[in-house]
Amino acid sequence: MIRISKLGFSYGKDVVLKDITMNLEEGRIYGLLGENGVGKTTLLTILSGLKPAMSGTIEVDGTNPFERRPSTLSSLYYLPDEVLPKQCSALAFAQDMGQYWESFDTGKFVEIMKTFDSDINQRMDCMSLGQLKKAYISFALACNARYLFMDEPTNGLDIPSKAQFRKAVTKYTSENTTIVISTHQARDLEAIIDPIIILDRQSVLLNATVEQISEKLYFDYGNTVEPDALYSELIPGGCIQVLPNSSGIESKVNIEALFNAVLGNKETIREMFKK
Amino acid sequence: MKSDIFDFSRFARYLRTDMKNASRNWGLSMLVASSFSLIFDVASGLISLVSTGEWSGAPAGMRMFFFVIASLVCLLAAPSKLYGNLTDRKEGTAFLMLPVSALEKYISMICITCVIVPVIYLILFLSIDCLVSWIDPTAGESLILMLNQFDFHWFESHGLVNGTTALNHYMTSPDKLLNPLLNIDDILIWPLAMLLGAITFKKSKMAKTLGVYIIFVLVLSLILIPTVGNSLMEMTLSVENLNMSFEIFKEQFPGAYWFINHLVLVDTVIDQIFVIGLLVAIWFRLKGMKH
Repeated sequence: MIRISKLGFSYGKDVVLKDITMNLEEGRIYGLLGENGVGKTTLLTILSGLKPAMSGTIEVDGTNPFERRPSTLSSLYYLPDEVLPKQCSALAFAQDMGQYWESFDTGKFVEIMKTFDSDINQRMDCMSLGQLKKAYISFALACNARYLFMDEPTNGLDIPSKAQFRKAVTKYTSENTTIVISTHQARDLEAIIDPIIILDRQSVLLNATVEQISEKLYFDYGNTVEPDALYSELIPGGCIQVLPNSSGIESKVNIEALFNAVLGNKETIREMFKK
Repeated sequence: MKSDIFDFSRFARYLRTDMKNASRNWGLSMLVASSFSLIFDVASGLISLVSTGEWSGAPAGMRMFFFVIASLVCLLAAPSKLYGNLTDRKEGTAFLMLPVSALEKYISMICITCVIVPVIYLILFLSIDCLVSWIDPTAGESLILMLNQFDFHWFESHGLVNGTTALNHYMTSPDKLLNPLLNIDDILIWPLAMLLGAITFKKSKMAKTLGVYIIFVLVLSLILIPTVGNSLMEMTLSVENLNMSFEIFKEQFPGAYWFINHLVLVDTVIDQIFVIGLLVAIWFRLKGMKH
């Protein structure tokens, strides 16, 4: 379990995260959303132990990740937005690096690479960005880490690969794996992320499961524009609107509409989801 | 359960991985630097062949000169090539996220920079040079033979030590036992300083490290010269007075006598302080590294 309490971080005088408090429970795939520069990557790097928390505490299974203990590091894997093209084949890279993650499974790596239609013997420095990303995603999943942090994992992936990515994440992670995926491409991951965390500048605007969201908000895909809609957007064939769910009817959550509704009605949403 | 501080099998695995990376990052450059004898022997031979019509390889003295230059370049450049990429976000992130303890990464880094790479370079250079002197009789004797013959008496016989009573005493003093340590310390300071610069500065690593070193030496000199100035002056006088007997020198210049008598010790202690300081600074830099 990951416990974050009053976490603060700043780059010089520029405060990025302030008083962030939340728990990340096992077996969930968290979608971390937010505008550019709100600190999504910073949060992931702090979770991974790449940066220290400047204030507050962060604990991964009771230890501070910045201590970078091998036991903590082997229980997590951080997949950054930009990955490194190593001067070796994907398989050689996986075998060389995988030996440091106790639960790494080479067979699984090969299987996931096949899912992505990728060649395990191709040199990484000869791969395209998408191919390289797929090799790293395969490696990340084959590490069998308890905590998996991914920063924009679908960047650079083509349309079929995005579907393969969703399939791989659901198929190759165990029930107790906690995944945090930071993304701007909410539609790519709509089907798999739950709960959803929306970061605002310096704070958490929303941290709720899809079930909680559909309890509180109603996503209307009709043609009639509602005056009390928190957000409405014209789409081909009608419009999509986000309304307070007064009737208790469940609806399919549209993450992009939710994101825009939350950003446009920060205080209303905060009040609505206050526990 | 494996220790989070140091585990031998994990360290051995990591050292192997680190050495593979080192060979990728620095292997070719080191091979070229180690082949300087061969390169200059061939170059010298070709030039003489064109100009005089006869093959004449690079003489041992010239190869020794290039050996010193190549060694200096390697000593200064290797740490940046080996670990300079750690300040890069992508490389640094991969390095920090590897489930290996900071101590294991640190020891591996120091071993590779200060022991493995210099030793391999030295063996390669001297082996290639041996091969050159064996294949090409015009190249003279090999550097390994020259180095074997080298000792301090060469300086003495060439008047560089002056043969003074005082310095003879220094040469035969019990402190001389520390001499190998003194030489290793002198050599170690450079790769360690360059390593610290490599993992600290993001750009122009070598230039900035040398710049900091020059500033540091200037500041240190400004502090030390007034405090040890008198002793140095006494030493200068003693060297000028070459015919002074040891007993007179000892009586007249006790400060200089003590300094000369313990020169090796003083130098070794100072070097040790620098080496330890650099080792500590590298450790804290590594431990506090963030991306």
